[in-house]
Amino acid sequence: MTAIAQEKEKQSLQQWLKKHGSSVASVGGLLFCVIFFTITTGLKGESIWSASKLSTLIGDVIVTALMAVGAVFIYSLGNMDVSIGKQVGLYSTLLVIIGNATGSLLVAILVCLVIAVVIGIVNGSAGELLHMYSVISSVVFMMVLSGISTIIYSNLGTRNISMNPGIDLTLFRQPWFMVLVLVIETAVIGYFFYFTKFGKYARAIGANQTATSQSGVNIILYRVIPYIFLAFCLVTASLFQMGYTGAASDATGTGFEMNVMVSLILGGMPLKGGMKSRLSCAIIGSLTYSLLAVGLPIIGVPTRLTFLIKAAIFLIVVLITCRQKNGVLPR
Amino acid sequence: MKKLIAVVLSLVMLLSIAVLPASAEGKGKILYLSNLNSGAQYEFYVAYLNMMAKELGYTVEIVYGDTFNDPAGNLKNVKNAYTSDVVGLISCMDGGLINIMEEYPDLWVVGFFSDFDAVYTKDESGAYTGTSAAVLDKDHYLGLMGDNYISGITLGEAYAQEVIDRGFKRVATCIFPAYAYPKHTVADAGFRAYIAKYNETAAEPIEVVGDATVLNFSPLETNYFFEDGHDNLDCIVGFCAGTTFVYPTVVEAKAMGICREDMQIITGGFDNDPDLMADCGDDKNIIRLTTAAFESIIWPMALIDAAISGHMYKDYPGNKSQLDSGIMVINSTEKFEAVINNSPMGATNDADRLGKAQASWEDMKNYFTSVNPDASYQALTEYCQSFAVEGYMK
Repeated sequence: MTAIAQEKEKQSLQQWLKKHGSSVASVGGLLFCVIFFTITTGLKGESIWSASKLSTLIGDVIVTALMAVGAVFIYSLGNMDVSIGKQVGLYSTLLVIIGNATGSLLVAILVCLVIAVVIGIVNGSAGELLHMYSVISSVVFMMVLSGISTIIYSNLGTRNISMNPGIDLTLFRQPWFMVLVLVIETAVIGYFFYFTKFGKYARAIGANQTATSQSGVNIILYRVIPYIFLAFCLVTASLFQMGYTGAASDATGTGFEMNVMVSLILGGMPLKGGMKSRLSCAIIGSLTYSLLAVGLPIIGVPTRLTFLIKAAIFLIVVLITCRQKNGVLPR
Repeated sequence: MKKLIAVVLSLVMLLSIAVLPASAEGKGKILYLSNLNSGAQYEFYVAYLNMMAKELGYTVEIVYGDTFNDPAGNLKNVKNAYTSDVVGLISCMDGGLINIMEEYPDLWVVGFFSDFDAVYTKDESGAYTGTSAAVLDKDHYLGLMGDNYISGITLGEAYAQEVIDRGFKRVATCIFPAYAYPKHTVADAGFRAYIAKYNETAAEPIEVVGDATVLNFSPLETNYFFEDGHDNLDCIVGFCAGTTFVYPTVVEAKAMGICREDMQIITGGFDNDPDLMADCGDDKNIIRLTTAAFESIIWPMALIDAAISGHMYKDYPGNKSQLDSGIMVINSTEKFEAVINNSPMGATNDADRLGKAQASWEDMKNYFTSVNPDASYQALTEYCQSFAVEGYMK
C-alpha cells in the first residue's frame, strides 16, 4: 500500500469518526457499562443479569425510555419540553381517579390522550405563533399542571391515591410486556421519524428552520405533529408509571423531564436537534442511565457516591460528544 | 483538552470504584430508607446504625427515599439498592411501602422517624384507609416509632403550654397543607383548644391571630407581616419545619423593621447550621425546637434484629403499634448549648458522634434479644423513649 493510500485511509477513518463520533461514544458507553457491571457484579457474588435484577433494570428504564422515545421528535426540532414530568404526574393521577370511578382504564386513557394532545398542540404552536422560545409554553404548562395537581390532592385530602384492587394492573409490572410495548412504540415512532415527512421535516426544522420554511414546509404544522407523537408516548409512559405501584401522588413525575434530557444526552442526542438526531439516543441513553442506577449499588458504591458518579459520567459524555470547535462545553 | 479532561475523569472514577471495600460477610444487609440525606441528624443516624450493625453482624446500606415520598420513587430506589443479602428494611418513608413489601415478601420492615400517614390513617369508623395500610396485615411489618409526638393533639398542647409559660399574648401558627401533613392541622386545632381553655380563666387572655397560615412547601412570605395583626406578634408557632420555612423570613422581616424585634419562634426539627444555632435561646429568634431524640433509632434496629434472628420479644404486641419517639424539647439557652456542645449534633466525626451519644453499645446491648434472650419489648420501648435533652446536661 502506498503512502498516499495509507494517508487516504487514515483520513477516511478520521472523517468516519468525526461523523459518527457521538454514536461511537454513546454505544461504547453502554457497552462499557454492560461489560463493567457483568464483571464487577460477578466479583461481588451477584449478577446484574439475574432474573430479579433484570426485572429491576427493565422496571427502572421503561418509563424514561417511553418518554425519551417521544421526546426525540421534540429535541430533533431543537426544542425541549419541561412539562413532561408534570404531564406524567397528572395523567397518572387521572388514570387512578377515573379508573376508580368508572372501573375501567379505557375511559381514563382516552381522557388523558385528549388532554395530552391539546397540551401538545398548544406547546407545538405557541412558540411559532407568539414568536417566543417553545420551551416557554412548556414552562407555563409545568406550572399550571403543578397547580392543578395540588388542587386535586388538596380536595382529595391525601398525598397519594391508589387504584382499586378490582382493576388488575399486573400486566404493567411484567418485564416482557414492558419490553414489548417499548419495542412497539420505538418501531412506530421510528417509522414516522425516519420514513415519513413528519420526521424528515422535524429534523430539517431543527437543522435550519428558515431554509425549511422557504422550501414550502408548513412550520407550525410540522412543529405541532411531533408534540402529538410525544403526547401518545407520555400517556403510555403514565400507564406504566401508575401501573408500577398502582398508585399516584402529588409528586409523581417530578423531575422526569431531567431524566429524559440526561438520557438523551447520554445517548448522544444533539441538543440543537437537526439531521444528526437519532431515535437510538433514547434507548441507549435510558439503558445506560438505568444500568448505572441498578449496577452501582450492587458493586457496593454508597448511594451518596452514585449521584457523583452519574454526574461525572454525564460530564464525560458531554465532553466527548460536544461538537463545539472552540471551548469545552456547548453553549 | 476536553478529551484529556474526559480521560482523567474516567480514570479517577474507575479508581474510586476499584478501591471500594468489599461488603463484609455476616448476618446480611439492612437497608435504611432515609428521609434525610445530609445534616447532623443524618450523619449521626448513619454512624449509630453502622455501629449497632457491626456489633450485631450486619451491614447497613443507606438508600435515599424519594424526595417527595412518591410511591414509585421509593420502590424504585429500594429495588435498585436491593441485593441478595438484604434481610431487613428500616424505613423512614411510607409512600409505596406496600409495594416494597409485596415485591420482597421475606423482607422484615420497621418504620421510624415519620408519621406513616399512608399506613395509619383511619376513617370515622376506625378502619385504616391509607394507601399502604395493607402492610398492617403482614407479619413482616413490625411497627413504627415516629418523629417525636405521634398525636397531633399532644404536639399542639405542648406548644400551647410553651406559649403560656413564656407569657406570650399574641401568637400565630403556620402549617403545611392538610392533605400532605394532616398532623399539622390536628396539632393546630389542639393548640387553639388548649389556648381557649386557658383563656377561660386567664386574667389576660392569649390571642391566636387569624387562621393557621398554610405554607405550600415554600417559605413564609415577607408580606405576611403586612397582614392584619402579624406585625405585632409575640411568637409564631411553626408546626411545619420552621427552621427552614419560617425562620429566614422572620430574620428578614426584623431587618426590615416590619415585625416586632422581640418576636420569637416555636417550631420543630433540628438544623446544625452554625448561624441558626447561634440564634437559638431564651432571648434569640428561636425559643423552642422539638425533635425526635437521636438515640431512639435503637428501637427499629433492635426490633428488626429480633425478627431477623428469630428471637422476637416475648411481649411484642404486634405491628399496630405507632409509638412516640424519645422527645427532645430544647427550650432554653442552657439546653441549646448542651445540644450544640455535648450531643452528637455538634460532633464533626463519627468517633465524636458515637462518643457523645447518650447510649453506647454496652448501655444498649441488653435490650437486643440476640444478645439477651430475656429482653422485653416494653423495656426497649421505654428505654428508647427515655432519651431527652437532659441527658446531655449531666
